Amino acid sequence: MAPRSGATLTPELLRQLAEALEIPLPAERAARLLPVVQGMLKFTAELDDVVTRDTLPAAVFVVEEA
Amino acid sequence: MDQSDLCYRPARELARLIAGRQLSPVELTQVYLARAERLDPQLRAFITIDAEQALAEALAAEQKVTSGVALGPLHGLPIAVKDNVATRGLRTTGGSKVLADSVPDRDAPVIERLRAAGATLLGKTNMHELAYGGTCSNVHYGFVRNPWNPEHVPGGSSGGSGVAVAVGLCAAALGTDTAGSVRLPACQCGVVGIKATYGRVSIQDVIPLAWTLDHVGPMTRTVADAALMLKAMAGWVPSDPTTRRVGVPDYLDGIDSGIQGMRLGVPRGYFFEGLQPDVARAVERALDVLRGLGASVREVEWPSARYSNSVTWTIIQAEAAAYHREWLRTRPDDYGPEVRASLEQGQFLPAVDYVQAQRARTTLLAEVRALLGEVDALVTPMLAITPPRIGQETVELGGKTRDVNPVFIRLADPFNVTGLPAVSVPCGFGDDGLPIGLQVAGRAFAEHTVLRVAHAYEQATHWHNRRPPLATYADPARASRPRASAPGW
Repeated sequence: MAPRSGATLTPELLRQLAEALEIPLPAERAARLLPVVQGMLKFTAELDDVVTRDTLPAAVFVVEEA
Repeated sequence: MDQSDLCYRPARELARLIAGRQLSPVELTQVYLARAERLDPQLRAFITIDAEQALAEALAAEQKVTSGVALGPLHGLPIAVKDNVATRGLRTTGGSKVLADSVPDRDAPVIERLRAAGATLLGKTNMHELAYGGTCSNVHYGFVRNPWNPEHVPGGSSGGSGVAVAVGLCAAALGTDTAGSVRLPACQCGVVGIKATYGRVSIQDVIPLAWTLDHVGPMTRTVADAALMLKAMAGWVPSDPTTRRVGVPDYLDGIDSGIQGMRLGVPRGYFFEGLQPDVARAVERALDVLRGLGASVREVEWPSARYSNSVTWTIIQAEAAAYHREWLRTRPDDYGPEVRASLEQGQFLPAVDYVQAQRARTTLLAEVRALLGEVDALVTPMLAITPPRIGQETVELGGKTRDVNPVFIRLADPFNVTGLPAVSVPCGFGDDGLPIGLQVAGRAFAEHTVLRVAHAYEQATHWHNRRPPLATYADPARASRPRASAPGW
């Protein structure tokens, strides 16, 4: 599978998704944001490499005493 | 006592002078206020100083001294507080326009504790907007400037607190640290900053950047001062579910006992990749000092640390986007351009990536806990570079052009991701004359160990005694008595 890049995203798709989330995102802002979102998706894809099937999330983060 | 000398005295020494009736809290407060009035128009360390209230608190502290009642360990010490920590009756903006008129009706628990220890409140410090960045180039309240060279950033997001401590505008300061924001401005301003173990210090009533990474920590002129402040701040808060019911030791107890025989791990690889050459030299010299003090220094490996940057960004993007979503819907134009773009970006982060990031924390913590079973503490550079110029977006490192923002946080955030205690202590100056920091991190709730190592290093060196070249700012014609009240200054 090709590395995740968000290459198929378009400014219009972002704008529509923002609209669905009720976030104001005019077309010109969506166009500027697109490469940033694509970079984010590429960057965060590496998180899949850090976990195994058994890894639990630290959603409520608690550490033990020394 | 010379006033410029007084303003640089360590908080611990000032507390002793006040308790011994050799120094008046009112006099000390007046010295800081006058100095801030002279220097702060250029440095922009403060968002709000309420001189009238600060002097009233100082007067009350003075009356307690003369009445002979028992005094707290911070009695009469004027402190500065980052403007995202709630202070009763004193506006708390988070460095934002969104919260420009927010005046809390109560103190955050950490402020209550500091007041109970006798501290007085001098003012609220400037910061990167909503703590969402590391430059403190704040479009709403002015760009904070590095006192060692005003063309450079002070680091962030607690840059105002770092500057206030570095130039002697307060006895100590508070910052918050989500990805290094206490330790990084401490490093770049040439002072000490510590974030304790997650759960050691309450984050209640602190404007969040990312709840599961946020910490509150002191910024001080010496490691002993950090120990003094942390003792006052730390502890279980019943109303704050992030805090742990763990006893708080006296961090000054045993801080002078040295590090002979202590096992220190140096995680080469990720932490030492692409360092600016003068930073690398300073850190190697610091390791030599630690060896000279009798510590056993050996190399260790923490392979998953290199994922901490993506873990941190993912969590911050998601949690900040969640906290700000309603204002992003209704008041998008009240955010600065940089923060607005980051919050918009966060709306598109897949939920699965957020969960993967929280799962990855488990991996990073398991590895570093195994490491810390073999050594007592880890020692790393705090930051790969010296403070960049204001407006600088990239740096050249190891022959590559890199964005400044990830470079800022990459050596600090492993300890936010894992929640472990970490301190930054000055360890030299770069070829450009700007400060360099050494980071010491340790086991969960073992702040006493990291403070002991940092203190031993500090006492064996002289970096903490250097003062910024303030001739650039000195303008005697502008020096005057403090204004009675200057909200909004």
